[in-house]
Amino acid sequence: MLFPTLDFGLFFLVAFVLVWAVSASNEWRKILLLVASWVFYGAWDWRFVALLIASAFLNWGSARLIYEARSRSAQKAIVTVGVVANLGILGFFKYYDFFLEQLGALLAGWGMARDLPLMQIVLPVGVSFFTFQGMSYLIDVYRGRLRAASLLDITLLMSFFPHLVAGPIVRGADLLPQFERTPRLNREMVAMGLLLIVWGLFKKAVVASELSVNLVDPVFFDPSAHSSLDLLLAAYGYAVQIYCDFSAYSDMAIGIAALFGYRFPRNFNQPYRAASLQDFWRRWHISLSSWLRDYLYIGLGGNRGGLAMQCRNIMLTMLLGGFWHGAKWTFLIWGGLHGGVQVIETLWRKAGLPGLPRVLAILVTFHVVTLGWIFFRAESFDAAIAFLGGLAGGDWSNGLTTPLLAGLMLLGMGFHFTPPLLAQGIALRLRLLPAPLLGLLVAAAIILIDAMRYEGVAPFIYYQF
Amino acid sequence: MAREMKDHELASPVDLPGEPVERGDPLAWTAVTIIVAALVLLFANAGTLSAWVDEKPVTQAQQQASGLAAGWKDMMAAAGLTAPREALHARWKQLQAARFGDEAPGGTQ
Repeated sequence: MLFPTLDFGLFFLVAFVLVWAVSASNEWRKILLLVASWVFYGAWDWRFVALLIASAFLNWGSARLIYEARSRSAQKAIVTVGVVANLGILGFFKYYDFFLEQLGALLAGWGMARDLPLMQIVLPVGVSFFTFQGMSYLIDVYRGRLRAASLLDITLLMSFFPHLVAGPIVRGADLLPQFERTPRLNREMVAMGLLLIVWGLFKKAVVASELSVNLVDPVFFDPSAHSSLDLLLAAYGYAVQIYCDFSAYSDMAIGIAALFGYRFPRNFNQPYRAASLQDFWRRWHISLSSWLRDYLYIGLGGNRGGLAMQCRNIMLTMLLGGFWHGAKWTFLIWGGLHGGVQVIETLWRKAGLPGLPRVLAILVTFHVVTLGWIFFRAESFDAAIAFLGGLAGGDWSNGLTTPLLAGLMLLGMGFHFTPPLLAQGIALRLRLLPAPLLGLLVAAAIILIDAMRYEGVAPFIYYQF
Repeated sequence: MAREMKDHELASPVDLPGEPVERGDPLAWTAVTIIVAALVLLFANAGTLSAWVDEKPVTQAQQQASGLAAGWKDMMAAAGLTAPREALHARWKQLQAARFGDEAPGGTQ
C-alpha cells in the first residue's frame, strides 16, 4: 500500500476516524493503531506481519531482562544477544544469499565449485528499518536512557505504519514517551502535517516519477545506447529523483503521524546545499546518519584514540552504512566513497589547510554525491563503470531531456535554496484559515498534482532497503 | 561528525514556533478540513476514482462498482466539475510533449 494511492487514502480515512473515535482510552487507541499498522504491512505480505510481531517480542523480552538483570555483566550479555538476534534477522533476510554467492565464487576460483543452498529469500519490506529501531531501543535501555516499555508500546513503536517501511528511523526515545499519554492535536501540527503530505505527494508523484520514467530508468537500463550528455543529465536527474522520492516519503510519514497526534523528527534538511560530505550526512537521512553516529561510530571509539582510529571509524561506519542499503558491492563502493572523502576532509581540516569558498565547496560536494549515486543506482559494478566510461564518450547530443524534465531538475535543486523556514511560515498562515477553506485548498492542490502525475505510481526507492 | 545543530534542524518539523491558536476544537477543525477535501476530490476528481476501481481484480462486485464509478464520473463531467482537472492534465501533456528546438521525441532518433 503506497502513500500516494487511493488505497492508502481510504485506509487513512478509516484509521483516522476509528483512532480518534476511541481516544478517550489511550490503550484502545494504541491497539487500533497497531491493528491498522498490521493491515498496512499485511497488504504487502501477511507472512511478514508475524516477523514483525516476533521481532517486537524479541526486543520487548530482551529489554525486560536487561532492566531486571542485577549485574552490569548480565545486562551486557543480554543486550549482546538481543543485538545479535536483530542482526540475525537482518542478515538472514538481506544478506544470506549474497554471502553464499560470494562464497560460491570464492570456491569456484579455488577449483572447489559447490552447489550452495541459495534460498531466493524474499526481503520483507522495511526490515532494515525496524531491526535498526529494535537495536537502538535495546541499547538505549542498556545505557539507561530508556525504561523498558510495555509489550503494546514496543510493538507499536516498531509497527507504526507511517514510518514502518521506509523510515524515518524513529527511536524509542522519540516515540515511547509520546505513547504514554493520549496525544492532543493542535492546529499548528495539523497545518504543517497537511502541508508536508501535499508537498511530499508533489515531489514523489510529479518530480521523482517523471524523472524516473522518462530519463533515469531508460539511461541506467542501457548506458551504452545513450550519449554522454544523456548520461550526465541522467546522473543529475537521479540525484534529484532520489532526493524527491525519499524526502517525499519522510515528509508524508511525518505529516501522517502528525494527523494522529505524534511528532516524528526531521529526516532531511536541504542536503544538496551541504558544503562537505560531513555536512551532507547531517542533512541527508538524518535518522540513519545519527543512528550510525550514536550506535556505531561512537561505539567503535569515535574520535577518541587518535587520528588514525578516527579515520578508521569513519571508514567503517560509512562502509557498513552503505551495506545497510543492500547486499550489493555497489552499495559498499558507495559507502566507501562517502567514507573516503570524509576521511580526506578530516585530514584536510586537521592539517589546517584552507577550505574552499562556500559556493565551490557546495558544487564539489554535490558532484561527489552525484558520483556516488551512479554506483548506488547502477545494477552492478560493471554497469556503473560502463556508465562512467560513457560519460567520457564525447557525444554531446541530447536524446531524452525535454524542457519539462530540465525544468523539474532545476526545480528539485531549487528546493534546496529556499529559506529553511519557508514551509513553517506557510503552515503558520494555513493554521489561521477556516477549516472549509483549508479543505478546499488541500483538495485543489491534490487535483493539481493528480493532473500532473505520471500514470501509476512506482514504489518508493527506499522500500527495497 | 560534531557540528552543533540549530534548533530548527533538530525539532520535529510539525512543532511550529510562536503561540498556538487556541480557538475552537483542533480535532473538529482537522476533521472538517479532511471531510471537505475528501468531498471536493470525490466530485472534482471523479475520474481518478473510476480509474482506481477499474484497476481492481475483476469480480462481480468490482464490475458493479466500476459501472457505478463510471456513471458518477460521467455525471460529474456533465456538470463541468471535472473540467479543471482535465484542462490541467491536457496542459501537462503538452508540456510533456515539448522538445528543445527541432529535436525529435525521445526514442525516435
